[in-house]
Order: sequence, then C-alpha cells, then structure tokens
Amino acid sequence: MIISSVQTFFQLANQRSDLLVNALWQHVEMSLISLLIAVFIAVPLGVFLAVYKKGAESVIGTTSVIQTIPSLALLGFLIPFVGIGTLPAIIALTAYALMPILRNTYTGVKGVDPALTEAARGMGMTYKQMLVKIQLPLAMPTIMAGIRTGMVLIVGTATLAALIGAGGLGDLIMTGLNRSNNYYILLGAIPAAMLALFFDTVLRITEKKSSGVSIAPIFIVVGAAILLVSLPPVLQAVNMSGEEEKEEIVIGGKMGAEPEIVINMYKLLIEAETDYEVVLEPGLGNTDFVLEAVLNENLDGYFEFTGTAITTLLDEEPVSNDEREAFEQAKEGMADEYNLVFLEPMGYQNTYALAVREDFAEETGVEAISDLVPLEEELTAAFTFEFADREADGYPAIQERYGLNIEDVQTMEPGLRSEALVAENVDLIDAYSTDSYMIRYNLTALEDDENVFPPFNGAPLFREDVLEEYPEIEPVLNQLSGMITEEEMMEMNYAVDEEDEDAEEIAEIYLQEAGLLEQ
Amino acid sequence: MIEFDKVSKQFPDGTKAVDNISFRVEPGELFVLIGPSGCGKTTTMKMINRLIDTTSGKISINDENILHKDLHKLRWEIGYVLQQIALFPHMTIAENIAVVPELKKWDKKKTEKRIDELMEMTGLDPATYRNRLPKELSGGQQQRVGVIRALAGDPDILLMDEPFSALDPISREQLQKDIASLQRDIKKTIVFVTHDMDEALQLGDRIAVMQEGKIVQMDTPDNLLEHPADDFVKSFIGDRKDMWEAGAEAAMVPAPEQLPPNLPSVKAELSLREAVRVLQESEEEQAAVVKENKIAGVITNKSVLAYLLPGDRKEGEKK
Repeated sequence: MIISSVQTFFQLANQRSDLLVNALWQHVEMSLISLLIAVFIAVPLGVFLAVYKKGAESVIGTTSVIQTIPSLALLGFLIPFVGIGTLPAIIALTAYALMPILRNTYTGVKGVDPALTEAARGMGMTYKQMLVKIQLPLAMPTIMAGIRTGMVLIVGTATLAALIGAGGLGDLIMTGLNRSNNYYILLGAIPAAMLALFFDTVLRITEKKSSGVSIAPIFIVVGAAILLVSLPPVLQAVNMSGEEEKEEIVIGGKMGAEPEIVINMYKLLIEAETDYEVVLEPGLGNTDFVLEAVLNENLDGYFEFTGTAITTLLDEEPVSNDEREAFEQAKEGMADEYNLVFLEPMGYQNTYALAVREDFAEETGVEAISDLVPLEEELTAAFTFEFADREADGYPAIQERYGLNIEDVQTMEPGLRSEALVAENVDLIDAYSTDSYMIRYNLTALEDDENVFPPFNGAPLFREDVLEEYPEIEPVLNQLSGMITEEEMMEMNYAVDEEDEDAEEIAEIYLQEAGLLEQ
Repeated sequence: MIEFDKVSKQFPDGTKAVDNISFRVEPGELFVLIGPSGCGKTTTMKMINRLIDTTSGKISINDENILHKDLHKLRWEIGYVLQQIALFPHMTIAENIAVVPELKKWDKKKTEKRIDELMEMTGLDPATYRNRLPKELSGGQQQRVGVIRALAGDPDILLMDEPFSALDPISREQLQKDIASLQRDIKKTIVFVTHDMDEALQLGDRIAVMQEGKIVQMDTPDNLLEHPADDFVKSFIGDRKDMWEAGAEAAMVPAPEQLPPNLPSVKAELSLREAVRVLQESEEEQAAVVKENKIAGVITNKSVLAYLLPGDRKEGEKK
C-alpha cells in the first residue's frame, strides 16, 4: 500500500517534472525577491531605529499588525491596487517577512553591550565604523535568525500566492486540493518544505561563518540571491529583443478543471481565427479576486456563470428559473454595474446540487431535497464556505424554502468535502453538477424540487472596452453558444481531474470533434 | 599635560556631577581620582576624551582646548581602559589590540610589530595568545589585553576607569604591581579612577579625593595620610593611619631557618612606620622582630605590603 503510493507519487513527479520544475523555479524566484526586498527594507530600518531609538516601538508595532492580517486577505486586498500575478504576491510576502527581520535587527543592534560601544567610541571610532566593525557583527546572529524566520514564513505563505495567479508550488497544492488528489498536494508541499529547509541550511551556514567575525558572508549570500533572481529576466530580455510583440488578450479562470478547459477553448479559437495572442491565467483563487482583476485591467475577461453573476456579483434575487431569462438578467446587471459584457452562454448548466452517496440514497430512498426534511436530525452535512454563506442560492435559501434544518453542518474546503462524504464522515455535501467527482464517487444529485438553485450557464465575460478594441473576438467566442452538454463537460472534467490529462489537449479535442477547429 | 580650568558638568536631569573643578596633571604623572560612587570622578575622567562634554569651563591638553581638536584624533591619542574590560568578543586578541593602529592607518608591519612588542611586555606570549578570542582568556589576562589595547596607538595619555575592580583579588594585586612597573618604563600621563584607597595609595603620584562633584583634597599619598583635610577624607582613608601606627609585629612573618648575621632588629611594639624606616635605612631585605628578647619573626617589604593590602589582610592582624 505504502510502496505503491510512493510509486504513484514518483510516477506523477516524473510525468509532471516540467510542471514541477517550473513551479519550483517560480516559487524560488518569488520567495528570494520578497526576502531580498524585506532584508533591504528591514535591516537598514532596524539599524536606524536602534541607533536613533525614537519611534521604534510604533514602527515595529505596525509591522506586527501586518503580520496579523490573514495572508489570503492581504493578497485580496492588494488586487485593486496592484492587480494579480507576481507583483502583489511579492508585496504581500515582503510585508510578512518585515516584522521578524526588523524586530531582530533592532533587538540585535540595541542588545550590543553598552560597554563595548563606549569602548569603541572611546577609541575614536566614528558611528559608521562602530556600526560596521562592532555593532553589526555582534548583532549578526540575531539578524540572521530574523532573516531565517522571515524566509520560512515566505516560502510557506508563497504557496497561497497561486490563488492570485502568481504560480509557484501552490499551483500544485491547489490543484491537488481541488481534485482531492493527495499526490498533487504532496508534489507541491514536499518541495516547498525542502525548499524551506534548504534555504534555512544555507542561511544557518552563513550565520555560523559570519557569527561575530565579519559581515562578509551575508553580502555573498545576498549577492548570489540577486544574481539568481536577476539572471533569467536579463536572459529573457536579451532573447526578446528584436521579437515583434503581438497584441495580447489576457483571459482568467477560477480554480478548477472546468474553467481551465473552457478558457483554453477561448484561447484556441481566438488564436486560430484572429492575429491576437491570448495569455491565460488559470487557477485564480475565488470570484472576488477574478472580478477585481478584470475591473483592474489585469485581465481582459474570464469565464463566469450566470447564476454567480446574479447572486454574488450583483447581489440580486434570480427573477426566473428560465435559463434565457436568467442570462438576460445577468447580462443587463453586469453591464450596468461593472461595464462588463456577457457573451452568449454555453449549453450545459453547472448548477449547485446537493449530493449524497448512492448507497445512502438507496438506503433512505431520498431522491429530492424535500425528502431530507424528515431526516434532518440525523443528517450530517459538509458545505463549502461559499455555499454555506450564499443567501440567495446557498444553504440559507435551502433552509428557508425547504424548512430544512440539518443538525450537524460543517464547512470545509471544496476538495475536502467530497472526501468526507466518501469516507462516510458526512451524508450530504453541496456539489457542482458537472464536477468530475460525481462520476468518480458515484454520487447522486438530489432533485431541486423547490427550484432554489438558479440556472448556472457558463459564458465569457469581458470588459466593454476590450470588446470595442478587439471586436473580432465576440463572433469567435459566440460560436460556443449552446455548445457542450452536461455529460460532455463532466467527462472532460473527469479526464483532467482524474486522468491527469492536459486541459489544453482536452479543449482542443472537443473543438476539433465539434468542427470548430481544424484537425 | 592635562589642565582643567573651572570645569563643571550638569546633566539634563539637573544633577551637578562636577562642580567647578580645576587641576593640572603633569606629563608622566599617575593621577588618581578617588571618591565614593556618585562623586563625579568618572564623569571628570570621561570629559577628558569627550565621552561626556563639559557644561562650562575649559579642558586643555598641552595647552590646546580639547574642543578645538578633531574628536576622533583626540581619542586616538588617549588610551582608554574600562572597568568592564570590554574587549570586542568577536575579534581575536591581536585584532583587539590593532583597533586604534588601524584607525590611525598605520601600515600593517608596524601594527603587527607593535602587537607582539606589547604582548611580550605584559607577559602574554604572542605565539600562544595572538589568535585567541577574549573569552578564552582569564579575567586578569583579558584586562592585560585591555591595557595594551589602550597603549597600542602609542598615546600620550591613558585613562583608566576602575580598571581592576572587576578582577579577583589575586589578579588585581598582580595587575596593580604590573601597572606600577609598566609606568616606570613608559612614563605615560595616566588618569586613574578608583574607589579603592589602597590602590590609590599604592599607585598614585598624586591623589584627588572627590566628594559631590568637588575636589576636597589633592595631595601626594603621604601627605594625604598624614594631613587629611577634613573628616570626610579621614573617614575615607579609614583606619589606614592606625595601620601604620600598629606594632611591627602585625606585619611579621615567621623567620626563615637560617638568618643572616648583622640583621637589623626592631622591637615588636615599635610602630610599623618606624620599623619600615629602620628596614629601609639598613638596606637589608628583612629585619628581625624582637619580642621578649627573642626573635619572634621578620618583617620584609613584601610582608608589610601584604599587611597593608586588603586582599591579604586578615581580620585578626588588624590590631
């Protein structure tokens, strides 16, 4: 069992080595740049505060406050100002590392025995000489300890940066969480842990070498780090020079196989029929992140569902359970509120569903949501945070319309709740009707006999100015109007999630079979 | 030559640490500042190398106002030995000694030569100790390095701030002897702060007794002992005077088995002062102490010193 798991893991690592190397590199680059910036800010600032002694507590207090902001919140908070991608990730990571480095630098410099600084002054050293020859070398072990703490924080937190499109090992972890695939989680988590250990070792050796002797080794390490992170961009710049740049359209997608497959279809179609180049930003954390990024012009458009647009983005009640009417409502609302344009929707619906195990359904004879009401006292349910929270079409709406009050409701990550259901920890979960685990785990979706869930049709959502600038993409993407059945979507999701197929290939095969793309 | 001219120091909190003092320290003199804690002796000393600046008055070195000199150059020419020793723990002994020569930009050869020379002078074998770290040395050895570090840049003036107070009695006694003999060779102008009257009497050419920021008496050790200016000085000297008045017996040690002939002898009841005078005049190493017509023991220079110094004085011998 264990041996075969290990084999499976290494097989995956082998198959996905390109992905792993890429993610690892992004992770290293993002972490090192953040750490360097944090060091360059916090060490001089710490020294300054220790020497001038004024305002030290309030400055360090401020960095401590930053530390208490949940990392995801900080990442989300930065999107309106700096958008998505590597930049906000680096800013957030830098902010996290400031406190330990600043505090340790301050404590280290301030903690130097006053007799030693008096001796240094009495011997005729200038402040600068005293700092370089006496205070910094003696404070170095403490400063290095702060840098090491900051580094571990950065490498760990950087895994969350995947949620705002910064890539890194977090991509693999998030994919794993999303697919309930532990091997993917480990493929991201193990290298992240090893990376932290590796950096820690390098810094510890540097600290030992420099401990109280000189501050030269730290400069060597900093120099090497700068070289490491600056080399690739320089090479890239050299390669890029002379190359003509095509006009780029950036399209985003939320976390998961389905958005990734669909935006790959967009890319394939646009690139086949126009001269534009499409850049994809798949795997973005949640609806708010993506919307902010579009409004902020980091993305030109993304793949969204009509139901989400109505209830979450517009905070409206669905006017109808008719697909077309729902689409019109979403389209009108998004145009008025955000100047975003919904293109034509696809055929399938990926609506919310309440799902149970097949054996549970057979045992209890439950077929529709209303059948759950008599069982409400024995039921245990696991919902996503989002579902538990959505007033109009989430659990609160179910409670109201069906009068269903489940005794035991837990909230958890999307990837974990299907696991919990299969492990018989819970009886009921919220699901998306096209999700691959419906097939994988033989789940039964309960009929929404009170029509609580609004229609969820997927459609491209673009900024108005983008469509004015690139008018060709509208007819191109409208070719997908009414395409893809629920069955087809579920199978494609299954192929990516469970069989680890490439989303781009799956998209290409579908488009070719549908005759939208030449073979 | 260091000259204080009506110097005062008032701290921001209002305390007047030094109150209008004037004195001169002659070249080659070992000048002791002594007094109880808080009397302003350390402040007085630190004003010389401007670790503390004066509030009013003028301090000159060789007739030049120290405020007119470059601060760092001023300090390079004034060796500084601290009570806390304060060797830089991350530097080797050689590196510690080389600090001021390097600040003065001596060439490397000269610095290296100077380090060896100073280490040898104070009995630290350069080959053994050069590359050790301070923590690998005993307290006494560390303060020896502290002293030669202060001497390394060949300053004219040496400031010593209770340099031996952190040491154990045996190392302290040894270093006091060493500094006395070193001073005979190098003849630096030394300002020495202590609260230990024995140390002051043993080392000082002149002693300034301070109280509440003022100098109450400034004199040679002998005059200080014989003519204390007031009750404060008298009490500060303590039972010193009584000790010299004690019988020679008090400083006596057992006689060696073989006594040389023509030994000067003193009666056991004779005051120690008289007995030492007899010993000095005789030019002999020792004098027999006669009690009830028998030789009860001998006194030597060493035994007298041992009696007078606190580390070796036992309560019973005091009377």
